[in-house]
Amino acid sequence: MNIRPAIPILIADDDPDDCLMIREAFHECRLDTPLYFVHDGETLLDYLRRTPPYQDPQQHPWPGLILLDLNMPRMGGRETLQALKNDPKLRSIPVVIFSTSSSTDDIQHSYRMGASSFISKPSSFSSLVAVVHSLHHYWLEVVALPQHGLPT
Amino acid sequence: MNSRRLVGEAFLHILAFALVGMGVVSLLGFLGVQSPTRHTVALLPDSALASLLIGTLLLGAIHKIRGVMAPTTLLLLTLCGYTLLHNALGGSSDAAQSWVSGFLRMRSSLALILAAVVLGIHLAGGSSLSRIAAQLLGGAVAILATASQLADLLPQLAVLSLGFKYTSTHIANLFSLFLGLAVIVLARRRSNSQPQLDRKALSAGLFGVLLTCTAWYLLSQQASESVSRESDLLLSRLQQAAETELHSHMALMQRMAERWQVLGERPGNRLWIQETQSYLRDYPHLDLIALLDEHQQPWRQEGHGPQHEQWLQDFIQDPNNHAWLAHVQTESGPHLSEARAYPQAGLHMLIGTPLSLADGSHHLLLAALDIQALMHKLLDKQSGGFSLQLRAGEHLLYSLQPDSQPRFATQVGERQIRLHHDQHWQLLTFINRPQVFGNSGYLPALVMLFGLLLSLLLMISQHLAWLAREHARNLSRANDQLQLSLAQQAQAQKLNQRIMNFSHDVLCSIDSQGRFHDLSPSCKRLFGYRAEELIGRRFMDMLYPDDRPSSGAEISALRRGQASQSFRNRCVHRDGHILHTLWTADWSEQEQTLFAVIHDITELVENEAYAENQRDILSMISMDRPLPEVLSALCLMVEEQQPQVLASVLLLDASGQHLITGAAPSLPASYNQAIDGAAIGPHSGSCGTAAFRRQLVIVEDIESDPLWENYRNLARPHGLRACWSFPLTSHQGQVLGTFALYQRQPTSPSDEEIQNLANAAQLAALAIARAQDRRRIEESEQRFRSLFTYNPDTVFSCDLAGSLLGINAAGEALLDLPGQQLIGQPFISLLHPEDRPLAREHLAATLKGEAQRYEARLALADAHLHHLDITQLPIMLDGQIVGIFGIAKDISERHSTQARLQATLTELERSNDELQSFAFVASHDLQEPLRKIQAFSERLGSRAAQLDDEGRDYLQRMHAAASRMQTLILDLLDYSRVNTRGQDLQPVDLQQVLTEVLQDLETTLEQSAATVEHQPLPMLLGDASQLRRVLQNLLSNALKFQPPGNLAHIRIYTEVLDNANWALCIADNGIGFEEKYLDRIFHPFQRLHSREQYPGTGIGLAIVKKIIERHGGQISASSSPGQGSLFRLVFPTYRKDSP
Repeated sequence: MNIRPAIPILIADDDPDDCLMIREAFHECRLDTPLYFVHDGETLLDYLRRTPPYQDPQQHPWPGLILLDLNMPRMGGRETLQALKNDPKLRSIPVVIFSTSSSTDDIQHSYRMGASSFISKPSSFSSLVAVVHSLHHYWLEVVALPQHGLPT
Repeated sequence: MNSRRLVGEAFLHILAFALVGMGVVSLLGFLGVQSPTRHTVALLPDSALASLLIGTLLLGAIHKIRGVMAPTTLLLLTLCGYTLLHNALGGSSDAAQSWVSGFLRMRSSLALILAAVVLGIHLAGGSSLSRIAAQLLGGAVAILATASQLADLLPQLAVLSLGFKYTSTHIANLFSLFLGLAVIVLARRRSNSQPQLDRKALSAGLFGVLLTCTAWYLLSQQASESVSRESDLLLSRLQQAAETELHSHMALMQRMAERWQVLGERPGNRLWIQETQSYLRDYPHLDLIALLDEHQQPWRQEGHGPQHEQWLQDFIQDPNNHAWLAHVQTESGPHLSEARAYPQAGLHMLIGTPLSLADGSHHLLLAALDIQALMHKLLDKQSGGFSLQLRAGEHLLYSLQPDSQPRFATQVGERQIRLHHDQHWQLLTFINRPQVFGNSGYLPALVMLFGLLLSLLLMISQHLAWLAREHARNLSRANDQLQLSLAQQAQAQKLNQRIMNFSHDVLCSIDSQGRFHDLSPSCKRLFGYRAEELIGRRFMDMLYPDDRPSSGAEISALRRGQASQSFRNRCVHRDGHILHTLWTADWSEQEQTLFAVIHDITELVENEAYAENQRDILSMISMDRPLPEVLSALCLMVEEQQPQVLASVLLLDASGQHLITGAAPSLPASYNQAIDGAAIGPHSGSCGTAAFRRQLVIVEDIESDPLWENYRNLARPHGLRACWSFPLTSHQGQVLGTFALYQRQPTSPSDEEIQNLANAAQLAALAIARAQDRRRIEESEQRFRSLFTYNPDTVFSCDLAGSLLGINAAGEALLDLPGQQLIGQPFISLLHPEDRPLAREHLAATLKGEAQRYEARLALADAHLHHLDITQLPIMLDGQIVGIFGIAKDISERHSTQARLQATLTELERSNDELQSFAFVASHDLQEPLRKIQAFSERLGSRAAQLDDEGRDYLQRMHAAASRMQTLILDLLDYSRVNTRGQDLQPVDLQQVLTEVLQDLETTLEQSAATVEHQPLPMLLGDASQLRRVLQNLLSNALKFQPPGNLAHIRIYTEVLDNANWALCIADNGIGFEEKYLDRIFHPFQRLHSREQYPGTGIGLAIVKKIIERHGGQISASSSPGQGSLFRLVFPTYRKDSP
């Protein structure tokens, strides 16, 4: 088995319960992926741009994947996604929308804006676990992610 | 025609012809003669040319031909000018050559005269002043010519002579005189006169003139020839005589010389003297005989006088003669010397004879010959009028001129007298005056003169003859015309007579006492009296007494001189009946008679009366008199026209089956009552039958005619025997009634009577139709009036300007003003000011022909605004808009109601929207805690080891409830989204949708081993995703609600209901339901089963219903428990072409 450095996942979600659920789901899958949580779009951008208080790259490592909720205060997921994809430095990070909404409009919009995929938050915990497992397997094992630091 | 003018005209023509003729003839003659001499030529070619030209000029001047006058004038003037010039420069014209003709030139005086004449001719055609000048010029020329002629007697005038010899002078004088006169005549002619001589006269004149000219020319030729002959004779005679004389003299001297030669010595004195004396005596012409010795000195000489000796001496001494003398001495034979004239003795010539004596000396015997005496003797005064000249070369030896005044010496002939050796003498004859030969010298001129005169007379007489012929022709023509007009007149008279006889009108003449003077035969027809009976009777007697005064007045007016008019009166016929007449009369003052035409206008008057009656009836109709009145008047009119008849009008009643009395003023009332209401039919009397058949029915005899079978007994008591009935029809062909005429005798009507009946029937029909129309119109008007009057809404009418013409009671109530006040006001002014522009626009649109509907507010005194719904219509009359109708509904209440409704609606919509969004948001936000509950309860469930069974059960129930809540919320969301999230209706292929749904349900279908049988589904307008939902719900219901163990079998098929709709039917073999629950199943969250029996929230069918209703369709179901269910979805048929 390849020893890979653990690729961190950055999760943007305003609901603390949802954040707990996700953590628990990762735990249930016995995955040790480092998870970092921000609670709105602006914080996310601050994190990625290393603005204080996120300047420390050790404490706040570059994520290999971003899970983005749509309904967040201050800066919602849609605007955040647009900002991410407009920024050349942040564009290449795969963004997976992870939202309670399952409306076709949101899905279409997300993909149009450049999201890599759209997952509706499942209602039961077991489904959540399955999703997390698939997510980890696909994005962190199957897929080759772009390296941070290299010219894009 | 003026005879003076004729003569003048003829004279001019003759003169012109003569000049031309003379010129032509002379020129021809000149050209014809080989060697023209002055003697032989009658007229100089120059003069002939000039004569020709002036003749042409004169002709041109007579006929006023400019084209002729100009060139001839030019040529003439050139000729005269040349002549004058040449004469002036080159000396006298008597011997000189003209460059024009190669012969002698004209004399200057002639040229001058010609120039003057040309000028005169031109002046003669000008103004009166130039005319006077021309006359003067002409006079001068004539005087000059006369003077020239008189030069014969008065030698002082010789310088004026016009010709170069006598004959030509005479001619020239004559013509110059004539030319002068011609100029005067030309000048005296009226400027606008045209030559009037006819062709024949002119040609006669021309012919005469030509003849004359030819005669003159021939005569003059002949004269000159005879003169030539005479001169020839004389010359030959003289020549011979002279030669003989000379020879004899020479022989004489020769003899003398020979004699003495024989002697051999010089003669002795006595012999000499005796010989010479005897010679001298015998021969008187010898003046001297001398003997010259060899030194040419006279030895002896004897002569008649000492002058001769002197002469001889001079001769001998003259050196010119020495040669001759010497020559003679040496030669033998006599010789003649040249003639010499020496002062003493005149002209002599010597005959020299050499004498050689025995001693060898050569002597010369000379004899002096007096030539002149010799010639004189020879001529012996027989010169025959000729002038004679004897020349030896240049020297004139002898000349004889019988005339004392030689003016024109024309050489006639010439002879050569050959002398001894090469000496020649020329003998020339000249002629001066031809009349010396006798009066025949004047002959050509006289011939010319008389010939011209004769031509003139011939011309004049010819012209007069022509005039007479013309006159006769005119007369005969006039005569013919006269005959023609006489014939016409006779014809006209005959025609008049015939007219008089055959005319129907009486043509008469009435004298001043008013008695008939004359009448045409037609009076018999008119008055009944023959013409003879009436003549002498007063015309007043014929007139109807009442009309006498008026007619008399008219006649008096005519007699006073007023313009003739026609007047009417009545006359009495012989048999007493009255006829109407029209008199047209005229009074003749000269003859004191009145001429009149009397025309019978009885018929006309009757027709006029009839027409007037008809007019009266028509005016009654047009004035809308009551129908019975009109019909009575009509009947009376007809009865008046035909005195025997009784008229009646019957009207057809409303049912069209019975006739009722319209008017029958003269028929007995009981009869009218009796037949009132009779039914029409094939056998119901005249009227009924006529109405039935729609044809004229003539019943001659009521008693016998089958038509009157039923009604005979009604008619008999009143004595009615004949009845003719005419049906009255409207112009649409409907029968209105009948018009009948009754007679008290059996009669059949004449054509005229039928015609009258028809006319009256027409009038009656007209009256009836009009009355009916009027009634209909009144009715219709009343009907429409009620629309106006009783309408609860305001009805008003406006004119084209928008001013009110009328308003109904409702309007008055609305506006709270009486109608009188409103009429005339523009209705727009009654509206609220803000609405007025709109109202004006609508008004304009209505005036263009469109009905308009709009709302406006009334401006009333009270604050309460009345809203009106105004409908405006254009009033159309014959395609023209003449005004506007308006209906105004007070919609204030409705308006306020509507406003409230609108407010409510807005409020509802707002709240609906709020609710929608609220529902959406709520459901969305509600889901979130639900999820958490579910998730955590699940987590809890995994750690539920510490819990007891009950606790786990509670947990389970909690989890289930949360699930249920979630499903409920989702279903609620779906339900609410049907209308809000629905897409626009588009053409959808239902077949495609079904296929997709079946695919989605594939697993379920396989699992439950269900069979779906479906027909092809059509296209429809709809939302594809929603339709998918519908099919999904229905199919899943069908699969779900099955009895356990049953294999589901679903049938999907279509039904066409009618043209507009079709039904989609989904039938299953499930558990079915009782139809009393039909309503319930379509309500949201209403279920027929518990959730333990069959899962579901009960929202499925509600959603389906909502979707179907959104698609404009309907859903219904039919079922019975255990028999399966059939769900029928009705959709409107989708047509591709419908929007």
